[in-house]
Amino acid sequence: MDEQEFETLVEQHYQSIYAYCCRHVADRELAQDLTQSTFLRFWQNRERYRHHGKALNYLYTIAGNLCRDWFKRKKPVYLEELPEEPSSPSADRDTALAVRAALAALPFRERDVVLLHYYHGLKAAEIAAVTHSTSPAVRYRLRRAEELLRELLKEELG
Amino acid sequence: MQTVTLDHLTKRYGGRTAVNEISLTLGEGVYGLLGANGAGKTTLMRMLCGILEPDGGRILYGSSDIARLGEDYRAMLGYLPQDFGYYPDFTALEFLRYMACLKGLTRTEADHRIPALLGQVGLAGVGKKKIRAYSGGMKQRLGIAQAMLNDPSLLVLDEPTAGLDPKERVRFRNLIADYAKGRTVLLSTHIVSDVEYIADEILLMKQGRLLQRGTVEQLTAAAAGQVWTLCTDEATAVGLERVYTVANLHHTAGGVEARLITSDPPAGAKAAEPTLEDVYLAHFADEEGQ
Amino acid sequence: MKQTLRNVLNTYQPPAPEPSAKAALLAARRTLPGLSPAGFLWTQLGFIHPRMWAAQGMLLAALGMLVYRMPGAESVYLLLGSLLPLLLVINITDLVRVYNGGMLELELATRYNLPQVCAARLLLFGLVDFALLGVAAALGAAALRAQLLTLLLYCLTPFTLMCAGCLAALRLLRPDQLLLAAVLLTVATGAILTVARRPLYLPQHRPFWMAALAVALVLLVWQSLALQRKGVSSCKL
Repeated sequence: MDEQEFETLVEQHYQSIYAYCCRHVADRELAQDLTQSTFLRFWQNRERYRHHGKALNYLYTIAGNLCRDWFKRKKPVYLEELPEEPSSPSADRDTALAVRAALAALPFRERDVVLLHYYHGLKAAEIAAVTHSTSPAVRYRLRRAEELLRELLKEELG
Repeated sequence: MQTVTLDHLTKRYGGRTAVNEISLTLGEGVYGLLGANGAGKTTLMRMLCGILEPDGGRILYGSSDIARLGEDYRAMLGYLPQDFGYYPDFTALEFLRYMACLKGLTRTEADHRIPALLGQVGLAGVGKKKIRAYSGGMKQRLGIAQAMLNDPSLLVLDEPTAGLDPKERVRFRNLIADYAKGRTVLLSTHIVSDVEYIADEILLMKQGRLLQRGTVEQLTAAAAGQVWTLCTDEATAVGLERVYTVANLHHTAGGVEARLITSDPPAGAKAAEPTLEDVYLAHFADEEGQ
Repeated sequence: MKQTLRNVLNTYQPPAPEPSAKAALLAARRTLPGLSPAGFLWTQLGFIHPRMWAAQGMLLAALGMLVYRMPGAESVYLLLGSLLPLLLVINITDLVRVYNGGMLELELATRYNLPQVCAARLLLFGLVDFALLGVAAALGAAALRAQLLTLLLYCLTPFTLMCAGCLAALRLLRPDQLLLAAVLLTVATGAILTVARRPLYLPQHRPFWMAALAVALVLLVWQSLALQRKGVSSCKL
């Protein structure tokens, strides 16, 4: 992969990786840093990428590892401390805030499968490949995450 | 592209101040650093490349001190020193591969860039010759090639045209003018024509200080009223050289046309449009030959 | 109104990234080395002139031949202890080439600059030299039918002291003084071992050798750390 191809990759996938990181860490600056680290790590290991299928899924793997490492290093952020306001239209602002809080309350692996499935359209098999897991484990985590979210978002779901 | 900021940069050697509180910001484009020998150009460039520690002030790349950035700064730097050395056993190809390794390029990247660079500097067919068999001009062109190996955002060239013939100089100017798009090029010289046509900004340096900076048009406009021509005879022309800074003496069938740099012209002199060479002479005539 | 989980989740859109974020990423990529530090070390191996390795091989071969002709154990100990440090002299000649070639300024302004080149080559030479030393000691032990560990002790101690001395020289001396310093250290080591050889190699003095080796290792670590902190003196303009 040369510089031009890398720039094309950034152009195509920056927004997706940034959104994924931002929904994990709920902080724009941090999400930008993690996104940058994701792509730079991809560049440094681009020779290995040949064996990893779709570039975007490989980027999700790297980004997920970086987000997980960040969570391991940092103390958990309490709901009232979440710094970043979502950019949702004002009618949905309260719902968006509730969703953000609910996602932050999920354990990392459950939140990860929710983000990849609901926001980035990956199927269970793809999520399993991205997270180095198995399809049954992914489906189990997804079901569990959905139960937790339905509980946390009772009001919003009506 | 990030800017490079010099903030009150100072360097002393014993009792002598080689660079004296220089502050300036370099952005995209070509900057011509003009000054006589001993003006402090090389010292300034060495500090800019992080190989000499300043005694005062600092250099910022973007908002970060280059001393703190370390190898991350050097990674985006390309440097051609004034006295360019080489390992005599190396061929040009081996030398460029060695420099590519030091600049952090993989073998694949180096093999991709080296042939193109050799072509750009006119050494395409002689890459396998030992450098000790190269002429002075060829060695200089090889030096320019190694400076550009890592596609640097900041290219620092100290007297890059030394040893180049006129055709090679033109080729060099075109190369640099193309390269500078989206990058910063700082080249030092005491040959005005090297920078006159390609520099976006000229920096005049004298005795460690920045005297003037501006585009060629700005500098020459500031010198309006300082350049005069006078047609006279041989004997008078000789006398003029003792009193005035003479930029040029052109011998014609009718006598001598003298071009003078002065704010107090002799009778009969006509005002002339200043050139960058005139500006240089106005500042450095007393230092030439030192 | 009942909402699906998907609809509710989709109300949460993160804020847009800063407009300059992508450009900053691409700029950061340009500062990354394609060549990792390990890759740099490996390529430095390729740039060490073959004559360096040939000289080291010839020295080892010469030592090997001499070892078999030596009349006694003491002579073998003396030969190996005083001549193995010549390996270090060969290494120094490679390190100083940069100053003879006028490459100093160029190699100070690159990503992997001269101090890193010196460190890489010192590491490579160090690894190879210790391996060669092991081979020389094994040859000597085979010739003498002596204990390998004893021979290693007698070889390693002066060699380690020489290493520490060479590192100090790199830190403190000018380039033109380096080779002379290495040669003088070798001669001094050989002279001391020659003069004191009678009592030195007696079995009852082995504790002294072990203490000397411990001191030599401490000196080596100290000089390595000092060199790392303060840099090679000759790597400055």
